[in-house]
Amino acid sequence: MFKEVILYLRRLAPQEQHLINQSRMSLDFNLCWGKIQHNEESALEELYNEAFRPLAYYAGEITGQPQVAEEVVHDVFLKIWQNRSALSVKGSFKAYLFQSVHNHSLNYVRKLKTRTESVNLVTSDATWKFISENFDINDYLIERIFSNETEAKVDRIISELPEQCRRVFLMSRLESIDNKKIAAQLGLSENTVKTHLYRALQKISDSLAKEK
Amino acid sequence: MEDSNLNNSIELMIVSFLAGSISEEDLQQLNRWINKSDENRKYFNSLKDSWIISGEKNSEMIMSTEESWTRFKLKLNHGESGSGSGNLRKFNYRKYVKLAASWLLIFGSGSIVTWWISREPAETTPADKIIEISTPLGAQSMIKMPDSSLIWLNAGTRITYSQDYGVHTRTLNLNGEAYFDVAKDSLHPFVVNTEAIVVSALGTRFNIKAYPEDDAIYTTLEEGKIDIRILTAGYKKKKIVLESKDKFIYQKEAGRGGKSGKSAEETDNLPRGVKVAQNGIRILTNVRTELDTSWKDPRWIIDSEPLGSLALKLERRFNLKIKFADKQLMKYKFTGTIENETINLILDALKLTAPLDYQIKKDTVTLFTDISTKEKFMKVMSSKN
Repeated sequence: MFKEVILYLRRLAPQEQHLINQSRMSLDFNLCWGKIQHNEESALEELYNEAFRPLAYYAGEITGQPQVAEEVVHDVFLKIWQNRSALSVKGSFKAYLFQSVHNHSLNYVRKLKTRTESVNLVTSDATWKFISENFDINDYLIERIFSNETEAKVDRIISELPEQCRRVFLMSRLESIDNKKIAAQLGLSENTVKTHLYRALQKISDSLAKEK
Repeated sequence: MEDSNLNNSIELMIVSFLAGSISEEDLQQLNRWINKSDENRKYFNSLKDSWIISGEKNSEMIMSTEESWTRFKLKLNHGESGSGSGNLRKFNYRKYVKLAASWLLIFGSGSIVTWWISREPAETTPADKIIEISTPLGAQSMIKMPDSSLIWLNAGTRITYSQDYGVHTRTLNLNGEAYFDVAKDSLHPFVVNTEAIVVSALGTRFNIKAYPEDDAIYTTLEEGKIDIRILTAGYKKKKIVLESKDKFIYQKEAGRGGKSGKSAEETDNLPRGVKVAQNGIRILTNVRTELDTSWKDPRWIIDSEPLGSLALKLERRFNLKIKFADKQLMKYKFTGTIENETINLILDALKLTAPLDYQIKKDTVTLFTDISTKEKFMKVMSSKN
């Protein structure tokens, strides 16, 4: 009779959201913060609409759990709204917002760990400590995360990578397949997979830096 | 490229860390290296930034901003109730939110979750209030209970609990399929009632599939220990203890819902060890639990799944009907990972890997054998032997 068949689906979600974003002017965060301080709820909503996706994405990356990302962002926004009259933000409000999500993501992981052992955490104690000590936040990262053009740029850079290197990178980054499995699937050594990943990252870093 | 591999260098450690596969030892070494100089630290962070930036388009955060804002507004109004300083309008349902004290996370764009709380008059004792959370067909959701337990609801699932949840026990009623990540609390047992079995736990992770129209109830234990009691007469509330990676199958009595044809994929699907097998009850040991639990994840894993049972899962997942023009097709087995799928993509993939074709009319998909490709497939399959 028939043998088993393998079904493997890649993520092919259309990037409609991205197209919408591109056609929109970006928001002036500091202006928005000023309005929030004057109790304008509509400004809070405007800020939320602009910032939710990138912030939730970042929280998901830091906590390793996309499903708690919304709660992290909610907590940060809640605090901002509740403390709007007392809170004084020096410099860029965008940077403040981002830093808050960063800090709160780390706190969230820590609290979750002490509250229950049963939650399936990707982040181990050592990793959590490593992230909190070594992850720097810089304006460059913040701008990139919030920019509507980053995705298109990264897409272009990736498309220019050598074939094998691109494949490895997409499998790792877009499909979250671990290095061992990529190596097995493509018939490469794990070191080769890592080397490809490294080259791809280096290329993305260099190309984006040039456009600064 | 093969020749120019980097060997055990810092670069490889950074990559391993970012891809989530670094050993504790290497992590320590990387940590020391980063803290050796500002230059090192900067370099690490530039690669880390690129990694983060390059994943944004692939974000698993596919929920819509608009829906998220709606949920945020609920919290905002609830949280501000004490201060009274906010100028936001306060919603009537604020007290219901407080009462439920759990929140909903909706996955997937366009999914809808009904969150309904029975509107009893306020005078009744709180314990009388029944809280219901349900997902319609074609949607999934996750809830966080007041005790921090997490529950994922598959499509077409209803969970109810009374307001005294957590006071003595943490008791829920389940109709459909759900995955439970139970917060540890040995003083308050976590109990799930289904139509025929009761599952109790103290702090574990498990999946229960108990759709009323199915022939069987399945309980898959990912980690820890759970007790199962069978309510049906004849079993005398028999108690069964499941251990890690056990799967319990309870075949409902013939004639009590067994004629729907929605039969158990698991019967011919799981070889592994069988611990107990007696009329109507089976316990499989050392099963691949992700096959029963990954429906909730971005990557849904199926293994040797007959198209017949896969079709039933797809019907629920996408809220549609799947008909087989050729019953033979139900026996084809599929293995793979499905990620961020649409029904068309899945059907196209099936088409590529088996001699079948499909038609979609409104909400009904008809699968039929594609004669021309069938011959080709037969050739390929037989030439392999």
